[in-house]
Amino acid sequence: MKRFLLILLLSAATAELAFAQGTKFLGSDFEFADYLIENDLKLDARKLVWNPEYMESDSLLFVRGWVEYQLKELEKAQDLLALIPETSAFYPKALFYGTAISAHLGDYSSPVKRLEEYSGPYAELKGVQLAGLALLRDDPEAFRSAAQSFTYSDYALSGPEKEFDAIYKSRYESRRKSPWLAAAASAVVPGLGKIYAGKTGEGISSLLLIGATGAITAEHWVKDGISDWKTIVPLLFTAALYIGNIYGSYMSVSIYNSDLRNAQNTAVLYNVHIPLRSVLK
Amino acid sequence: MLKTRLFCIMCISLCALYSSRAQDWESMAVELERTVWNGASIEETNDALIRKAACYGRLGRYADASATLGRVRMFALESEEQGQVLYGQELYWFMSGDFGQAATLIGEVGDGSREALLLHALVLAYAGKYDESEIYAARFVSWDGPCPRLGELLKFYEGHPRPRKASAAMALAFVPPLGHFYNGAYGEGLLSLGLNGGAAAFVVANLLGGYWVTGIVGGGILLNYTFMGNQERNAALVRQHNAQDPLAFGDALRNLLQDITSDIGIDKLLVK
Repeated sequence: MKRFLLILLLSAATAELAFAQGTKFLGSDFEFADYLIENDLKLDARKLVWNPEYMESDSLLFVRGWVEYQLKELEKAQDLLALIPETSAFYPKALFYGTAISAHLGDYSSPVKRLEEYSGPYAELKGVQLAGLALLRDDPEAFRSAAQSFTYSDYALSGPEKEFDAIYKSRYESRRKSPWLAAAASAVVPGLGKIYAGKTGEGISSLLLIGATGAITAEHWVKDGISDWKTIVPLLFTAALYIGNIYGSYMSVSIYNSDLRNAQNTAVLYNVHIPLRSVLK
Repeated sequence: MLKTRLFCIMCISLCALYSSRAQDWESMAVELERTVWNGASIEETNDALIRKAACYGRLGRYADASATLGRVRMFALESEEQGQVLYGQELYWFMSGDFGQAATLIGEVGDGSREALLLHALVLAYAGKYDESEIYAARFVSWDGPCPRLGELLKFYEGHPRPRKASAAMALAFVPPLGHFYNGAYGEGLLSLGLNGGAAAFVVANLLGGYWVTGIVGGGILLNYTFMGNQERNAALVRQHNAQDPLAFGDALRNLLQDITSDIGIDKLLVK
C-alpha cells in the first residue's frame, strides 16, 4: 500500500515537473492577455503570461514585454522586447516600442544602430524616432539627417514632425537667455534679472525687500552715522541681499534654460511614443 | 525506519506543493476572468465575478475586489443576492480605506441584517457622519433585544469629534495664540505668541525711538512672517484635524463595539 502511494505521488511530481518546463502553446491566450490589458486587469495579465507552462516563443516574449510595459516595468519590458528576433512578425512593434522605452530610460544611443538597420515598411516612423533620439542626444547634425524623411502628410506622424522642427529651431536657431545679462540687470536694478528670467513676482518682491532694507539702512545712517552698529547690521544685511539677488538672477536664467531643455526633452519623449499606437496597429 | 521517514518527508513536500497551488488566488482570479472572457452565460459570469472578487479579497486587493463586484450583472440576480453583492462591495471599499465610496452604497445595501448595520455604523463613523452612524450602531447592539450597554454607546457618541471650522480658526488666529488653542496645539501657540510679541515689540521700540522706517518697514517684514505664517499654520492644523479625527473615532468605536458584543466578534461577523 505504502509503495503504491509512493509511486502515485512520484508520478504526480514527475508530471508536475514536465508541465512546468513549458509544453503549452500560448495560442488564444495571447488574445486573452490582450483582453486583460485592455480592461485594465494588468496584474491578471502578468500572472497569465508568466505562467511557466507556456512554451518559449516570440509571441510569448512579446506579450510578456507588452504586459511589463503596461505595468510601467520599463527595464524588464526593454530586456524582453530586445530578445525578439528580426524574423519575427512582432519585430517592428518590439523595435519601435523598445526604442521609446530606451529613450524613457535615458538611453538615447544604443537603439540608433538597430533603427538604422531596419528596412521595413515603417520608414517615416523610423525617421521620427531617429530625429527624436538626435534631439535628446543634442546632436543637430543627426537630427537634420533624420528629418529628411519627414513628409508631414501622415496624420499620426505630422504632429511629432512639426513639434520636433519647432524644438530644433528653438534650440539651435534662436538666441537663448543669458545668465550674465540677468546678473548685470539685477546689479543695476535689483530684481530686474529675475523679471528677465520670467519670474516677475520674485523680481518685484526682491526689489521691494532690498528697497526696504536699504531704506532702514539709510535711516540709521542719517540718524546714527555710518560707524554705529545699528547702521552696520542692516547695511550688511542689505549688501548680502543685493549680492544674493545678483547671484539668484544668474541662477534663475540658468534654471530657466535647463527647465526649457527638460520641457523640450519631455515633449520629444512624448512625441517619440504617441504615434506608435496609431502607426503600429 | 529510514524509508518511512523518507516517505513521510516526500508526502509532506508534495502536499505542500499541491496545497500552495490550491491557495494560488491570483491564478484562480485569472481563470475566473477567463470564464467571463469566454462569453459564459450571465449566471456563470456573475458567479465567476463574485468568486474572483473573493480571490482578490484573499490577496488583500480590496479596491480591485470591490471593482470586480461592481461588474456583476445585477439584473440577473435575486434581490437577496443583489443585497449580498452590494454588501460585499461596501465591505471591500471599507477594507480598502475608501470610506466615502463605501458610504455611497449604504442606501442600496439596506439594513436587513446585523452585519449590514455594523458595517454601516463603522463606515459612517470613519466617514465622519456621526449622527447617522449612531443610529446604525444602536440598532446593531440592540439586535437581539435591549442592550444593557446602550447608554454607554450613546454617551460615547456624544463625545464625537466636532469638525473644526477653518474660518473660525483663521478669525481666532488674528489674536495669537487663540487659533492654536482652538486647534489644541498649546505649545506651538505659546511659541507663536512669543514670536508675534517679539515682532510687535520690535515695531513699538523702533517707533518710540524715532526710527519710523525701521519700525514700519522692518516690522512689516517681520510680522509678514510671524503673523501671516500663524494664519497659514492654523488653516493647516484644521485640515489635519478634520482628516484624522474621524479615523481615530472610528477605531475607538470599533473597539467599543467589539467590547460590547464580545460574544460574536465583529470582525468575524463582517466577513461572514
